[in-house]
Amino acid sequence: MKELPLKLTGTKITVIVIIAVLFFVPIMLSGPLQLRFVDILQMGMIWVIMASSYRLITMTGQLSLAHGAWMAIGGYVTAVLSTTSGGLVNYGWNWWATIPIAIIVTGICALPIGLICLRVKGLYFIFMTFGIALLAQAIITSWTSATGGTDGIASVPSPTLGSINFSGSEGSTAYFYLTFAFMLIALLVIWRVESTRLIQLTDQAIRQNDNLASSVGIRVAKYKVLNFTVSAMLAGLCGSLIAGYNNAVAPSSYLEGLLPIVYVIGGGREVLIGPVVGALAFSGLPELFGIPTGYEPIFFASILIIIITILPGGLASIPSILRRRFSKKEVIMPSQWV
Amino acid sequence: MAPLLEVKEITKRFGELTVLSGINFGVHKGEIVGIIGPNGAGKTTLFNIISGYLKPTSGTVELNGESITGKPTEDIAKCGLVRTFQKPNVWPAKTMLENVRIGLHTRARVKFIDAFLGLPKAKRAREAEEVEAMERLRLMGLNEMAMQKAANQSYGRRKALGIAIALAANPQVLLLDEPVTGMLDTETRRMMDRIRKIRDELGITVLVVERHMKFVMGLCERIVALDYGQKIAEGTPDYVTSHQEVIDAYMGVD
Repeated sequence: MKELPLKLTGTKITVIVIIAVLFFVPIMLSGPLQLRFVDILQMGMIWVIMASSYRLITMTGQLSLAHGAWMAIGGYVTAVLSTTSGGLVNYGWNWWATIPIAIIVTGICALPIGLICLRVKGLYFIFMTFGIALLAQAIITSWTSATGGTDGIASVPSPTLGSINFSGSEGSTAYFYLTFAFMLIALLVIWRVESTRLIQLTDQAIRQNDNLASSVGIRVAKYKVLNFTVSAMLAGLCGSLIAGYNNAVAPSSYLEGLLPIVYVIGGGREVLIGPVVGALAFSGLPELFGIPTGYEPIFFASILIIIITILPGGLASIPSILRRRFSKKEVIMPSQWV
Repeated sequence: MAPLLEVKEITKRFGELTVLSGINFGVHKGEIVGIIGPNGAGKTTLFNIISGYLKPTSGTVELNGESITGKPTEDIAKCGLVRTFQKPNVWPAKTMLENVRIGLHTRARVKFIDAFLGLPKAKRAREAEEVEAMERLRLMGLNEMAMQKAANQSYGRRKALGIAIALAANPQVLLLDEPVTGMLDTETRRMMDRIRKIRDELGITVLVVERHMKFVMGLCERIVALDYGQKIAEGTPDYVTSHQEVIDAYMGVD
């Protein structure tokens, strides 16, 4: 007899609420309030994709610090291919056309790195991915002919679709829905892959005891590399989205690449909805609270510490904790299978 | 008839230290063979080499005539050689049944696409999986607690679960690493019966490393004795235990 995880109903409600809010509020609001909402949540949705893809890596039990590098690669590929001057190759491509290339190039970069890094585990893996992040930054800032160095590449064109304007503040609503669509697609893909019980069981088996998993023939290395590469490709997509939104790419602090970790842990890493909630809830907070630039790391570090201390399962674990507290019957925690 | 599992001239050096030198023996299909030796003799290292956790410095390991030397553990498991662990090694957060079902993975008859689309074929395969998993649990006497979490089980039960998981991977050869170390006498006797059943009913060949002499004498048809990384005797339990070098190794030479 199968038991559905208790979190399922709460998840469904949360998903519906989030989709409804994201879809309807920009239409219902207007003026500067609407602009602010759209602005904050624009990035919030991109962080949703970044965090959800990051979770794929944690599903096989690894913690990578290189996630920002993939986003950078995707963004620079889009920038380089679509600008008409100032980059390495000025093909002046349509933004849409650069997306598959950005994703594939990121995947091609991530695959060998995954193969190398995933030969080691735990702390060593973390250090190696950190090295990759620093390496990516160094390449970006010094390969000036390709990346524009510390200045980056400007005049990245916005996407075009018929007569819809995607650029500037008039186009921000349109871009919002564009990102919304991409986010839904990304989440759908991750969700369907994960619902496959085979993948779910295998990933959990690897995450909880990879020695035992390999002793019964589970190809641990293959699954780790697979998750790593797919995760990187989705991050590359985010880079392209940001490039089209800002109409520019520039090197950013490598700390930004660590934010997905905060969102995944803050939101909850066991469930798909975790990073979604985490990204939406936490990414907009610095702006809402008026945290001055440069102080965000302190802010996010505090969130991380608070979450780990009092709510280790992240925000997504709140419903089950409440249920346990207020349930009159003895709740027998169901097993993890679907 | 050629041995199912053949260990040929296995040598392992860690820098200056030679842990194993020139180990040769074979295990025939359907045998229960034991490896004994005092602490430091190299038994665990030998096991790790056979099952792919370590690469030998020289020598080969052959399964069904094909070399499995230096292959990764997961490939060796897929070839039909599965090992258990000295310390109980399970997935603690999962139920006993789920633990065994993960072991069935290597022979998952559910294709990814079918599961992705949720076809009824996938559902039926899943039910068949559960039946098979229960079979393994029953063999190890764990079917009554199939729905309990592995973390809540006693030491002995978790070791038995480890064997059930290994059985789920459908091995031709089962490598048991100290299966009764730390167990009570009653559990040890039960384990002897179970291992015999595994061989009799499932036709699995068993290679076991163990220090419990009564267990080894009562269960194994042939014994390989190691000392200081070398094979010092091989034969029936009576022969090996009356062999002078074996006695010296265990009792010490004056």
